[in-house]
This record gives sequence, C-alpha cells and structure tokens, in this order.
Amino acid sequence: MYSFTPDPDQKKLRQEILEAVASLPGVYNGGTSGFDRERWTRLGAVGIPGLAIPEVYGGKGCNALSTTIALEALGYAHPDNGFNFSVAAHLLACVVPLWLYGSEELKTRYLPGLCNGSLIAANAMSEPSSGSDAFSMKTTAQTSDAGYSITGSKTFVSNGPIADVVLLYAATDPTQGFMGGISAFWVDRQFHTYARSEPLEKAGLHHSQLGSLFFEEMHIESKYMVGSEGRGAHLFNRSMEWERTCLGGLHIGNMHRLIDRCVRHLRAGFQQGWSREAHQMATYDLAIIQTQLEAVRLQAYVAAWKIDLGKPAGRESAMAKLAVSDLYQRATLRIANIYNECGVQDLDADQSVLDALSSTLYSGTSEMQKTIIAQSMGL
Amino acid sequence: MTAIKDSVKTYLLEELNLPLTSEELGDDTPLLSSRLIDSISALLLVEFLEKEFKIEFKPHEVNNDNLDSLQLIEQFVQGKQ
Repeated sequence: MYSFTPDPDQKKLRQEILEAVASLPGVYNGGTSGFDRERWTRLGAVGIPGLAIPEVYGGKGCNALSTTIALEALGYAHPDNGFNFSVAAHLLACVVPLWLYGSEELKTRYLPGLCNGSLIAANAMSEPSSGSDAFSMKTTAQTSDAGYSITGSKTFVSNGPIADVVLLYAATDPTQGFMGGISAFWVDRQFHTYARSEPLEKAGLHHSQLGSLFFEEMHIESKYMVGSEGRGAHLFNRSMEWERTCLGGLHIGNMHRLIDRCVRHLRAGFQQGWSREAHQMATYDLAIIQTQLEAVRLQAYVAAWKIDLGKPAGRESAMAKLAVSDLYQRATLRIANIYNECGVQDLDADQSVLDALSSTLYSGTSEMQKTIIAQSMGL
Repeated sequence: MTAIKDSVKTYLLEELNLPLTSEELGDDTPLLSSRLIDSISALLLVEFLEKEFKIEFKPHEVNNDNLDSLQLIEQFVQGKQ
C-alpha cells in the first residue's frame, strides 16, 4: 500500500534540517570554486552525511524514503547545489554501499566518521576510455602479497580531490567483466598511495570538487575489499539505485524553492499593479512546472519505497532519475526566463540553470537510464 | 514444477518484471542469451538465489551456463546444496 504522507518522524527530520541549514554561516550561491570543509563538519553535526546509516554506526537511521525527504529539505533550504551534491554523492554512492556490503570491521572503523562529517568519501568508477560503458574498465586489481595490486586511472570522481577515502572499482578478472569480474575496494588515503588531479573546471556545481585519480601498482590488503570478489558491479548497481532515487530529492527541493520564490516575485508585482494578462504565460508555465514537480516527486518516492521493501528498484530508480533530471533542466531554465521577462536577474535561478546542466550526466546519463528501463522491459 | 523453479519463476515475473506470462516462461526458456534478463537483473537474480537458497556463487560461476534457464538454475542450486 502506498502512503507518502510524511510521518511525524519525517516531519521532525525535515524541520531539523531546515533549522540546521538556516544557521549555517556563509551560505553561498556564487560562481567560484572552492570547498568549505567547515560547512561539511557542520552538516555532519546534524547527521546529513550519514542519513541512511543505522544509528548503531553513528547514522540517522533513515530509510530511503526518509533520506529522499531529508535531501529535499536540504535542497530547498541550502542554495548551494554543488555542496549539496557532494554530500549526497558521499552518502549514496560511498557510505550506503559500505554499509550494505562492507565487512563488519570496515563498517565499525569507517562509518562513524563518514556519518559525523569527519571523513569525506568519493566513488571512483568512470574511466577516460569507458564513459557510460563503465564496466569495460581498464583499471585492474591483480592478486599479490595477501592483497591486490591496483593500476589504472579514474575520472569524473566527485569529491576526488578532497576525499579521505575512496570506493574504488577495479577488474579482478577482466575476462569475466560485468558478470563476476569487477570488485570494489575501500581505499584509505592514510594507508594507500595514489595521485589525484586538481579540481576540474565545470559550468555549475562549483563547490563540488570533481577530479581524476591515478593508481600505480597500489598495494591494498584483502580486508579492504567491499563485498566479495567479483561483486563490484552488483554493489555499484545497488548504490546507483539509492543515488538515482534519493539524490533527486535535492533537485526537487531546489525546484520547490525556485517556484516559491518566483511565485512571491510575481505576486508582489501583481500587488503593485502588474497586468496579470501580460504575465499569463509565466503563471501557466509555473502551474505546469508545479504539476510536473508533484509527479516526479511521487516517482522518486515510489522508487524509494521499493528500495525500502528490499525489492529490486533498478527500473523505478532509473525512471525517477530520468524524469527528475529532465524536469530540473527545463524548470530552472523556464524560471530564469520568467525573471528576465519581468526585467530582473535572479542569481539563484541563473545558478540553478548551470547546476542542473550536469544532472542528466551524473549517476548515468539519461540515455543510460533509458537503456536500463528498456532492458527491464525485455527490449 | 519444483519448489526451486517455482520460487525463481515468481521472482523473475513479479520482481524482475519479465515480459512473459507464467505460461510462456518454461523450464528451458532462454533468459540471458535471449536478453529477457539484462546483466543488471542477472546480478540481482544471483543475490536472490544466494539469499533464498543459502548458497554462494564464485565469481566464475556467474554466467549463462548456470543462469540461462529455470532448468539450469535449478541444477546449479541443487549442485550447491
């Protein structure tokens, strides 16, 4: 049975996040790069980097639906989409798979720090030569000395230039490929040596640090493998179910904020005597965006609900990701245009247009989501 | 149909949304080689089999030889039990 009315705990969590974010110093929505570790620590104090992790490991104990609702609150109240994206990528693509598949030793050792904001994680999957065909990776992990020797490079690694720990995917048996040939490793910068690039320049998400990582015969002990050998592809897909579902909460919150602000702007104008007829297209378009936002929010909630039932949610999460990111790009651009039609510039809307650009790329491109959905239909 | 095949069949039809009716999904219906199941779903199926029947796949056992039909899946599971 579907019931997506927030329960008292979810309402409390949402309020807690709204209040915590409101008290953050220097919430910034500008166009320069840089990373504010202090702000990450502040978010850690309210448990945002560990929302989905059980309390016994220091997390907030949220299920996927509550995590989506919480990220929606963060996206609404914290107008720094790059920073929000970094926190969500840390949680959904790194911390969640460690919790789901890591050994008890790794979980006990790392999850508390990952949840309280003292450790930052990055997920290293994409490679320069593989792109969306991620599992044809060239990075290999060969057995050696009670462990593995890893050689290769990874690109488009969110948090890569600043991460303390990395969830790294490598081919333990290239002949097996996706089906049993990929394994996941937990790389700790304190103990494992690798090189990393400077942050890459990009159009939006400025406070999210994106970079490349380079591994040259990096030795890592077997105890740092996450899940069993050959299960990396499955582990990655499970983490993507979470990311494609819950990260959309940030975008939904961002759109919700832009709609609220734009409505207030138009209402203020009407009270000052603006012609409603002259702004009819704007009001109609906002009505359509509001309608579509409610629809994609439900799609994300349904995907989260399936995850929480313990059922395969690959198709639902791909559908939610496809729909949310498509609307995110269209809605932010239209709202930015509405401000321009009113003769003003709105930096929040303009920055959101740029931040939304990559939403159809990360966590798998829209084309990849369509492929997943089509394959799930037997096509 | 045996309990193993029955359980797997229910999982394939109800959880992995195989685009077949129960009658169309026979013991020898090719699953992976016909692309009825994609590689992502194949790994979900492996996880289901491990939990449901308390067995463990080795990396090299995750392949068409063991997963391509209800018949092959049953043989593999029985061989592991």
